[in-house]
Amino acid sequence: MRLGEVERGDSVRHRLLIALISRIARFRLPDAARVAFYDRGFAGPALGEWTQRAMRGPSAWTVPERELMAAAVASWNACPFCVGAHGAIAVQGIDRAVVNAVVEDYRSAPIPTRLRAALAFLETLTREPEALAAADVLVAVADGLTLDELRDVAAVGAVFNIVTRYANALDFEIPSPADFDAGAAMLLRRGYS
Amino acid sequence: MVCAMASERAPAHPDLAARLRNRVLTSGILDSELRLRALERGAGGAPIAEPYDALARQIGADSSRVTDEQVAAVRDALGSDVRAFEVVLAAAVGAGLRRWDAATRAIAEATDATG
Repeated sequence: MRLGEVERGDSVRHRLLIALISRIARFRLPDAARVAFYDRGFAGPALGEWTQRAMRGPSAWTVPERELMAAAVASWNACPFCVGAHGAIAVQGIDRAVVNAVVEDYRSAPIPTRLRAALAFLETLTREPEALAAADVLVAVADGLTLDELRDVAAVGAVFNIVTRYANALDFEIPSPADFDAGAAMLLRRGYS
Repeated sequence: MVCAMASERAPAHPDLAARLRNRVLTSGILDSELRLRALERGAGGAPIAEPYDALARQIGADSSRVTDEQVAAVRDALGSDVRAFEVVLAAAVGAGLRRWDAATRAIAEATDATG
């Protein structure tokens, strides 16, 4: 269910900001951004900081690869908003057909072995976190990942197992393809925090 | 290709995870006990009072099946959007941190196993 105050903003300043950004960018400010503006005294800014570090901070994974991982988590958690939003950023560096193939089934997608290994780790982390074990780590290492690379994958997984869940619970509105592209450009330019 | 920005002073993931957990437990306007219980329930922890249990459990188990009725019941019980929002976010954070903890544990076990 949508919460009206999240959509409108919880202060005059934020309501004006939402209206201004929507007018300048000429698209409806996505619900993800409205949540980021809301209840700033709570945990949102800390989540934004971790998301920024995981998605834009130093890592052996490129930004499009990390966005592809986020889209994959979103597909496993049946979050159409996040599949669209992060898929739209991933295609800035990865062929759209490959992005679609990964969201469909990464096992048969034409991607490098190390990315497939990262997605396998991420799938177990998302679907069966209690089953995640040293053996999963060792398989990923055998496929060429370092432990630091795996920690970066786990951070993307943790963050998007949060974002997808509140996006679903709060019934985020699904933008048009053009608005997804506009949102992707904004997230590439401004980041997450 | 878009490349990652390099930074020598980027905060570490464990610190950011701990900070997020701490913010859920120590900030916000929702009753602190309910925030803690919602976080734990979203992570698969013990049942809590209704109507909070149905929503927090569903967010942790399969958020795509959260119903309008589950969110509305929590909003009505708490009397404001912001308190309902904090239940939702706390449960979602619980689900995410459960996964971070599982990955951290698995990586540590693999490190121990290989010396």
